[in-house]
Amino acid sequence: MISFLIVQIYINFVIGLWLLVNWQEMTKLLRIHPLLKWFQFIDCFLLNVMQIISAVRRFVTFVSYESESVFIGVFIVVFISFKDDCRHFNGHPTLLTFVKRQLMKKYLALALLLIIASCKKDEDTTPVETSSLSLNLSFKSGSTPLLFDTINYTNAAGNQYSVSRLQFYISNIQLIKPDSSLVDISDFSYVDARVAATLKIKNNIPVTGQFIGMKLQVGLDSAHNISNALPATNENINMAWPDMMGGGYHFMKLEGSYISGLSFPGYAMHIGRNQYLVNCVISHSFTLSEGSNSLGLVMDINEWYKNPANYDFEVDGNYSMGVMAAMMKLKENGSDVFMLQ
Amino acid sequence: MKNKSYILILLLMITGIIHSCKKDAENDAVQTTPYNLIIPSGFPPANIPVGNPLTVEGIELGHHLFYDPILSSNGLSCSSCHIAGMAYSSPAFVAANGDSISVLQIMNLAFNPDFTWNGQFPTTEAVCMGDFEPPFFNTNMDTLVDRLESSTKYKNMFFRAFGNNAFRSMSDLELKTKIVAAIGQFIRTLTSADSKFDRYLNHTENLTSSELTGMAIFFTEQGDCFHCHGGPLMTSNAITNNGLDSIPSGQDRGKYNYTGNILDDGKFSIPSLRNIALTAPYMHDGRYQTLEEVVEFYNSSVHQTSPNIDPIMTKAFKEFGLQLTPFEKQCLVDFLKTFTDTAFVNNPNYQQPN
Ligand code: HEC
Ligand code: HEC
Ligand SMILES: [Cu+2]
Repeated sequence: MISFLIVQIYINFVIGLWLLVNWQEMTKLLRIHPLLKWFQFIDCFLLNVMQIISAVRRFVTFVSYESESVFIGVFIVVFISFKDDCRHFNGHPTLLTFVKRQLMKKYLALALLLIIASCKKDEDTTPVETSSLSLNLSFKSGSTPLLFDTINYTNAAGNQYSVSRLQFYISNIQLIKPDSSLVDISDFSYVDARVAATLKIKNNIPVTGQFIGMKLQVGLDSAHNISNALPATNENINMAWPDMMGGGYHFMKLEGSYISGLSFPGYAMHIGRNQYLVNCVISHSFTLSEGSNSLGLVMDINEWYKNPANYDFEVDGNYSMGVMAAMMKLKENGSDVFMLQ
Repeated sequence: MKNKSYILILLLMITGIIHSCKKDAENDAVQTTPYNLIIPSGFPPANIPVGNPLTVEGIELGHHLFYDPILSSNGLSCSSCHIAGMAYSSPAFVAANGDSISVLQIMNLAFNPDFTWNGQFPTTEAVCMGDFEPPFFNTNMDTLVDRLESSTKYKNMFFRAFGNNAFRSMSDLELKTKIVAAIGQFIRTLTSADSKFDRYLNHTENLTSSELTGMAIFFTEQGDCFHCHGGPLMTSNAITNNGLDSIPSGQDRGKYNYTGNILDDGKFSIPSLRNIALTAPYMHDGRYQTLEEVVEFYNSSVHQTSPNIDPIMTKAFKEFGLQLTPFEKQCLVDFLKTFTDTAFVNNPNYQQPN
């Protein structure tokens, strides 16, 4: 009970901080757009009131289920409150989106802070019934492990190709229980196949036991796929999808070159935009026990180019960004790119 | 349980604060003032070498040294080649072996992961170390020590920044390291984030219709500049080959020249396009004099068979170039000119100190 009270106080503090942060943001906006003053003010104000009400409501329900990782709860609340899509008018963000973006930045900072705080907690106290799952990513093409910059892979359409860049986001990892119910274990992670530090996705999991598979997405869900919504790191900046092409982020950049007659042109498979979010389902039985568990998550690059439809660089094009048919093919082929081992 | 963790977090925060206040103690017992670099909104975190945090005193010393020919034996200072009015660059510089090398701008370097055209150096300090050598300063260290010894200004500034101004008892390396550390601190404060294009993004200024047309070319597949020159820094910071030469030779081999790896042939660190209108000539060797020439290169002269060419440059529709109309090319040039940041160029905090 005492701990519950303390948590309550902490939440009040967080909400106070929220208001403080937003207030500064609001006054700043007012200075930028004096003419739009009242519209913005009411807009922001309502937004805040709604945020707080829903945050408190969600929090209460959350706590009654699970009082262990309250910090993470707040994190989720913050994101859920932003599930709207971003609308654009002539390449300009609408006013509302602009306001939200500004707020979102602050929220993200706050959320990160909370996540950090919650990580600290886990390290410093003896773990009670928390287990963790490390997913170790690796890559192959057919049966050959990925070696960058060498043309030694062949896809189903017969293109011989190399890989020079493979970067993507992996989101909303869920474990599937034998009764088909799902357990959420992660939000999103950035992966660069060349950077070892990004190849381990570690998460605390709230449950242990038997599982029959995993679901995940290659890309970012609509709540995160908004320009400037992610922290401004070099990685996120480089994944940006220009506002002029709809905004948000690249879900994946897969590049390299291939043999075309006597020359070696490049190919650039880029996907982005909400409708091309790649949903993957992996069936694989495994057991997670208390303490730390690990699983290998393997991407077969050839699977992007087949099943259900072959992708041929010569026919479907050697770049996909902005080419709807190409992005759709990749999205659909992508549902089985991963396997667990 | 829970209570404990909050106390722990609090403790952690407090130790963090104490720790950050202590940081400068490693300098020979002198109290320096930490300098808070203002990071423009949307920029990535600054990339500051661990051993050389920004201090007010270090930056002041670096600022004076940057503009002072005292470091050289040929009358040059850093500011001879990195000139304020040209966004801290200048027209091409000819190296001793006859190659011409375009002078890079000094701007937003706190956010850069690698330095010089071929990306060879991990810090600005490492770049500056080379400036004591010919064909740059060709510094005679003995006379440099004499000159510093007889300058009360530098004796005071070195003491304030490093707690040490006994130039004669420092080794050459020690003295150089202190000099480049101070200059490194100063040049990391040069930030540019207030161009017309930034103001457009912040909704405080409009672009003309031709600039908007240029923007649409830049930020869509049509011109496809954004994959390499997008984002707040106007560079993706990658090292790649944009197809300048069909068979690169000599300095045109770029990164290959220091890695010896054939996969690095022709690759250069993608330059920022901020203030690009002020930094002619263009490309690592200054081969193009105007932005019109650069746009024409991307429009019709990319060597698609150049080794290790970036896949972005060989998209199927680019086989015969971007095929922009003369009007579209002009719009693209107009848009590139909106990257000019006059507030940066005129910022007195960066210019010649009194
Ligand atoms: C004689 C002309 C000249 C002088 C003097 C000079 N530079 Fe440079 N600077 C250049 C050139 C040319 C380059 C590009 C070199 C290359 O990429 O190979 C450059 C590059 C740099 C870079 C790398 C920038 C980047 O974006 O990667 C830094 C940092 C730099 N100079 C700092 C200095 C400092 C500090 C001084 C004074 C100690 C100085 N320079 C003096 C010509 C000069
Ligand atoms: C594949 C990545 C890539 C793309 C796409 C690209 N560039 Fe570049 N750009 C580079 C690289 C690399 C350099 C430096 C090349 C060198 O000097 O060897 C460069 C240099 C430049 C320069 C000269 C910069 C300076 O300081 O001298 C300009 C201007 C420029 N690019 C404009 C553009 C425009 C406009 C577009 C779109 C039409 C574009 N770039 C597309 C990679 C790219
Ligand atoms: Cu793209």
